[in-house]
Amino acid sequence: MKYIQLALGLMRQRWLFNLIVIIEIASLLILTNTMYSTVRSKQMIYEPYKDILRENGIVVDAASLDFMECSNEEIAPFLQVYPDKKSVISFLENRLTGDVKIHCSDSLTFWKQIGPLSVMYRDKGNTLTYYLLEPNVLSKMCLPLSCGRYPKETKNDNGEIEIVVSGGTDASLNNVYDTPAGKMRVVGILTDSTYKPVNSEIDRNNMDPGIDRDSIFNFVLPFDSHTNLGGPFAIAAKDIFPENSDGYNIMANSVWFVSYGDNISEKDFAANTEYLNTVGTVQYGQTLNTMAQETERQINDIYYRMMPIIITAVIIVLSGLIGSAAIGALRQTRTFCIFFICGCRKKDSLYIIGAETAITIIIASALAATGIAVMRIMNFEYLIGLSFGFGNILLSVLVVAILFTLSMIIPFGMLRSASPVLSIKEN
Amino acid sequence: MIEIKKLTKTYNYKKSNAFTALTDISLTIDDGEMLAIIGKSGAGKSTLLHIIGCIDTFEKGEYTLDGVSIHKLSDKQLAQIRNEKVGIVTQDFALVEEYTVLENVKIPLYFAKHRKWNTNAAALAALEKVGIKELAKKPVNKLSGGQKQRVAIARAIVNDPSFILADEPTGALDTKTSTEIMELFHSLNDEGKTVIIITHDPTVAESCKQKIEISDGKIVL
Repeated sequence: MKYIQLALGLMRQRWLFNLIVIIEIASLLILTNTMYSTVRSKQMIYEPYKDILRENGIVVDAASLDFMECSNEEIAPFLQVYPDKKSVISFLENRLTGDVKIHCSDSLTFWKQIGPLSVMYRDKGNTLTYYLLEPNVLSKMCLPLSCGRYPKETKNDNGEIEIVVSGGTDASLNNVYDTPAGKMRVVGILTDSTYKPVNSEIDRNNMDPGIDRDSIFNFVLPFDSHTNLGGPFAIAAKDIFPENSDGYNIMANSVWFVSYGDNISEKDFAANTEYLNTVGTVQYGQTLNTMAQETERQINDIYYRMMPIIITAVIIVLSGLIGSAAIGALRQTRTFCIFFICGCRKKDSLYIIGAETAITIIIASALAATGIAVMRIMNFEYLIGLSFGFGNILLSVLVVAILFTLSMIIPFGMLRSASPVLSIKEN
Repeated sequence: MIEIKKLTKTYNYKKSNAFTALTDISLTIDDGEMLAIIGKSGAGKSTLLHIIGCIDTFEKGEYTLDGVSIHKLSDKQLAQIRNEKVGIVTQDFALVEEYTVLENVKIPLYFAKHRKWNTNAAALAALEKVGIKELAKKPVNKLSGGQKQRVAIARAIVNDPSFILADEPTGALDTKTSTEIMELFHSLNDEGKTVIIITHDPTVAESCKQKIEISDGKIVL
């Protein structure tokens, strides 16, 4: 406590300089956290799809798979207003040859007017879309939850379907709803600003031209419950819903992956591609592996683009902080000399400088936390795709520890070699 | 009581530029004494005061303060002596200019082993003793030389030390103020404190009960 009191007294002497250093550190913390969160949020989207993308295979571009204009008459009966996804997959797999598998995430749409489910709606949405995920995707889902957990891949012991809902519904944790598909229990709620895990609303015209189309980021949409961008949604495991029945349809309207085993022959590959071209446009260059590489490249690009800014900021802040501590130690040699004749040890002087640096960093951290909180309140996190979590705290602690350690080196050396007797004589 | 036997102080000891500031100094200062140390510049007066005040170390000889041999003490113990047993006053006052009077007087209290609960009260009592309680909240850079020296004395006595060491306490003051400051030292001495003053001023030296002269690092008188 005494060190803090003395440090505060000394900080008053250079309040303007300290203020500038505080602003510098706060800016650095916001910058590093923003970069980390941007990368982390992209990784969280990519993570569940990583294994699928790492397999060999090609992607049938979802945007081109326009069932309404499909020229293949064989498949036409399955492609009504609401295509029967299971039948489409079964049909396609029967017509393709070799070691081939079709992956497609489903979505299930309930209309607002149907039964007690309406309790989950707020005013904005007319439908609540359920994204039905492959078990291997669902088990790796890591978009942040504000509470609860991700659902099991099978019905729970009570025979209920477990779901996670987005913000923007009136659902609370552990609410159970009677729906046409059976009882559903809310086991988790996503944070207000997040991503839709699969995209059923993909539209070539609405794609971000700045994003490489080979990337997984084309197949997710940012979602924010405070904006009007899409209605609320839920996530559940696939294959635990009853077949299509009155009141709802399971739709195949999302990303399609056609993956091949390692032993696929060139002949089978060519034949399959030819057939798939009658359903939609097959993009040959776009293998799942390429897609994975492109996705990873985009994530790494964020590092490459932001690293120089971060490094520059670190250098500026470090110079400021080290300079501040060094100038402080130099200018305050006389003060520490006065403390010395009053019973202060050299060690105590270092503790006082440490307390000064710690106070500076704590105020800067609080300022940075406030800045980030304001960004969240103003939905900036949604605009730039941020996701804040425990990792941010760890990163901030690491940055602060590095700043603190480096800023103590010079004053430590100066004070260790300084002689109070000589300082007294000089004064 | 201060007992010094055959004390030698060499700066840059065992180096090519070694310089002996004090040679074979022996001195006994009884409790309640008021001693003036006189001598020319560079004679070694301040060095002796610094050693007595545990600010500086020495290479040879023996120095005991109230029966405790200083040579063997750790940094922590020396700091405790500077904090509790001695109060030091310097010619340039040695005050933190940006602090207020009260904050300056409170400095030793921060480093005290047994911290007083009410540091403000202790500091104000010390200020009252030197007659400037009403200036407590003023920044010291707004004070006159005499007032600053009173603040320095208040700081020196705030922990109620047995010894007051003053290095040219009147060197930067006019005659009238010097007299007032010396009166203050006399009153502290009357209370039983041992006062050691380094001075060039014969009047100041004459007003002390005892005086010694140092020349070329040796006691000559």
